[in-house]
Amino acid sequence: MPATGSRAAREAFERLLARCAVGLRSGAAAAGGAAALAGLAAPAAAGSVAVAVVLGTAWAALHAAVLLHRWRPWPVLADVAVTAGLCLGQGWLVPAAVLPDATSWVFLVASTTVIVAQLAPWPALGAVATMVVPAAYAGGLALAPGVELPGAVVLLVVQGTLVAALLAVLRRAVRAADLAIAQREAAEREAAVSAARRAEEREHYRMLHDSVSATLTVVAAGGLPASSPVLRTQARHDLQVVEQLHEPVVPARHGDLRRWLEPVLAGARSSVVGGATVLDAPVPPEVGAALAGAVTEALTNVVRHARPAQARVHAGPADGGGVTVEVADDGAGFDTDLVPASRRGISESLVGRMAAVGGTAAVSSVPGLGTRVVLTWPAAPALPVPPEPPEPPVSAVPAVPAVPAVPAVPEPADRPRAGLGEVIAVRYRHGFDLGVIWLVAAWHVGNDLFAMVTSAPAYRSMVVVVLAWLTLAGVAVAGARRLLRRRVDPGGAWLLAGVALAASVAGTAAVPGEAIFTGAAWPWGAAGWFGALILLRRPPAELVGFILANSAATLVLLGSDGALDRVAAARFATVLYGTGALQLTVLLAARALDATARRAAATAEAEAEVRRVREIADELHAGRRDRYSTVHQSVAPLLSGLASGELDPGDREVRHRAAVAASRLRRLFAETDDVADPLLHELRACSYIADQRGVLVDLQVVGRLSGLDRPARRALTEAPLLALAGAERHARVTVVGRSDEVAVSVLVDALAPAPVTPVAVTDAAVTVTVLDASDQRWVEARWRG
Amino acid sequence: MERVTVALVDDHPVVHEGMRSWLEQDPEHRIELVAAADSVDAVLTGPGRDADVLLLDLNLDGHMAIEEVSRLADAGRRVVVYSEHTDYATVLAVLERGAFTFLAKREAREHCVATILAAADDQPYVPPLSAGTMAADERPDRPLLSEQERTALLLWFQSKSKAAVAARMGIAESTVRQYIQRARIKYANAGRPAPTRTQLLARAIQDGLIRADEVTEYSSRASA
Repeated sequence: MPATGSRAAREAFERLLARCAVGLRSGAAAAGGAAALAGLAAPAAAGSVAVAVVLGTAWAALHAAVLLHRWRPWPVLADVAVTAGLCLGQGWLVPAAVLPDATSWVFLVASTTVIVAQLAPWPALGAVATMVVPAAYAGGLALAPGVELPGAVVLLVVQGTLVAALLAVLRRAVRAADLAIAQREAAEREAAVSAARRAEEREHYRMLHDSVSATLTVVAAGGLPASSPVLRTQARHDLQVVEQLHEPVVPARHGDLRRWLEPVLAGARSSVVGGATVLDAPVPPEVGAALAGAVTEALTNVVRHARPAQARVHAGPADGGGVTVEVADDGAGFDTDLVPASRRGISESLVGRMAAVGGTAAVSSVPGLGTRVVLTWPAAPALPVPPEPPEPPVSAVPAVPAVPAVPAVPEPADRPRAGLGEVIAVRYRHGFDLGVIWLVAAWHVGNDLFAMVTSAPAYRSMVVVVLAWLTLAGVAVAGARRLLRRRVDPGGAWLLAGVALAASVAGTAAVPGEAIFTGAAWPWGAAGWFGALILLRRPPAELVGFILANSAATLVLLGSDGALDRVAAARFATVLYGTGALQLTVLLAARALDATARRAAATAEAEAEVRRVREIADELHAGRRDRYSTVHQSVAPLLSGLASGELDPGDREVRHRAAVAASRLRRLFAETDDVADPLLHELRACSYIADQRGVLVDLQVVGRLSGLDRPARRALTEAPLLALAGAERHARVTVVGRSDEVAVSVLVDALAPAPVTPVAVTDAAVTVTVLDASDQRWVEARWRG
Repeated sequence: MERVTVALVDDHPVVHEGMRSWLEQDPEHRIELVAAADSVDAVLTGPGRDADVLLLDLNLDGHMAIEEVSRLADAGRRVVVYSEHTDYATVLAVLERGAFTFLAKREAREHCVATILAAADDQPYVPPLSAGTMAADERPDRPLLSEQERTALLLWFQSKSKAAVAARMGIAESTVRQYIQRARIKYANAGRPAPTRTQLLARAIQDGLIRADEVTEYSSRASA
């Protein structure tokens, strides 16, 4: 099955990031513009600032309009260009006092442009922004007279790098989500495809069972002494049935229960089924197939464990709709509390099989009193009509409109698969948590620690600042632990938020008023990140409150120092946006993750459904071709001879050929059954015709049979099948299994009347040895792994 | 010649009748069924206490009497386990615990006389199903059989005819018999210590099936 990579989680996530980008960039344009006009001072002239603000706002609106539609590279690059221009012109747009700091409105816009570029799905563009914007910023400062290169340029680079790293972590989590979707889809598709294939196989085999197989079985058993018009007509009809294997099966949407169960009961050994009553009840094909498989397994189980025992089967409509099938044996039973693993496996597989079609299976047993298996399927509440299949066999389907050519449509497309959204959401959340924790840690060390050390001489009290830094580090560790352990209780969150706020205010209070807009005031700027970490899973209002409280405290400190003028207020607003907007965006994005995951799941489902339908159609087509060639090769020459009257059914050789052909058909039917031990099941099918002819077949098995695939099993059973077709009265069939070797031997009391062309099975791992004596033939087929 | 005496433990009276009739079909009437009861104790306290061979049905009163096999083997009884529980693990467990051999109920008619006579004489005899089980044995601590020995066991299980096995392998029938007996002796050599095992090995050394220095101590194998 080809791997089909899903991009649903990735695409939904990119759309979320685009919304974040639009929010941040528009906010920056608005806040920056307001600050620019409010904090107007020389050398910035009202005219040039107004032009820059109008143009910047217009561009932000265009940028938003494009990105809300979808990510494109050009608006990202254009934004870098526009911002670079702004940076170069900042000598004419920003008051002189503000120029050296990271508090000018141009810095706000530059910082946002760098961050937004990292959100784009092209990391290379992010890198371009991280290089070009700070360079332009430095260039703009160089053009302005008397300003040295400030830390703001470095800050831009640091911001770009940190956000790029955060996004790398997030995108890895998103890729993991897509991988999980793809794996899950592949498994589900495989199950659906194989269910559809089996359903069609069973339907085809049912047709063959009632026609070709029945005819050949009668001929093999010597039931027809001579050719007759009835036989010739039947053989012609049977040939037509073989030709129909080319065509897709069109089962009735609701077939009846008997049609599914009767072949199973007829196929089981008569010694096992002690009695059966099967009443008509409508079931969809996939339910019929599931019930047939479950009953086969329950009966096999009776043979394997409960011997000597007989099972009674009751099947029919259940009270209140749906159907119930009960298989009860009178065997040894078992203690349900002391179930051996093998047995538990069987009841689990029955449960799984029924659950797949919305039914249930219950296994109850009492030691000494036998075992009872009850399978129920409640009638579904009006199944929605499945989509039209891609391969409408119009010519082959007269008068059955609106019926899918794909049998057993696995699940209606509009029924959401429970949990896929949750699978994606878990990975999103995991990535987000790790990203935020990483970001806070990097910020606290890379920015805060660095700023604290370099600004040490400026502080009123170095001890207070160091204590604030340590306290915030402790808060980050505690917050990270809470996040990873999924703790969302308000008590712990508020306590940590209070501690973080106190540390930030205390640290900021140690900064003299004139340094409040420099890197030295890192506690004020950093607090927002700690708030985001602590309150990530709390309502957004709490983070807004936290950021406002922190800023209000700073404002009070600023006022008490007498440093609050018009320019300072504008700078304050700039910093407020810079220290709150991104943090709040992260929190809002975290809250949108579950909805994004649900959207990704829905997309993935829809895509998977398309692939599923296509693959089912391909698989069914290939299956039909193989089936036709296998069946045609094995029965067509014989049926043609019988149809034309050329072959005499009374002839010993013809009877033998019929026995071989009928046995091969039986084996083919048995191959579709889902049983624990397929090789034994198929060997029994190979023996069935001999059994019908009155041959005593003694089957003995020792050892463990390894999981041989279908072609290997067919190669292994072909020679024994031919030998069994030649048996007169007795046949001894033995199977000896080891992990590296399986030997199937047949000892029969007569030589075949004539050689029969073996079906061309070439399996290098299987060798066949034949030893003929005067009165017996000994055939051994051995597989070596 | 003195007749071999056998006692039967089986809780189905019909089986007693069947076994009696099979033993009587031996044209030389070499075996006498001296006791038949539905429990080990009932047989051992009655006329069966001195029987040469004990035929033991594993499924008594609804549970498996596998541990009885060890007890009887320790007491020096030659036990032929006789059961319809022919799964791989049961057969190997029974051989491991010192039974002379395992005889499947479905092969009793053809093989019970040969099995009982061989047991009474401490000579190895392997009925087909036991042979097949030994050929399929994959336990890591199984006795190491030669390729020829394993092939002989496998083909004997498949054909129930040593002549046919000889024809398939291109060797003499007596050699086939020797391969099968040697395989059985290797199992006895590897099993837990019991007087019956010692007798079997002693007889095998006497008959030249195995050399005295090939006999291993159980303890050394267990610690290996």
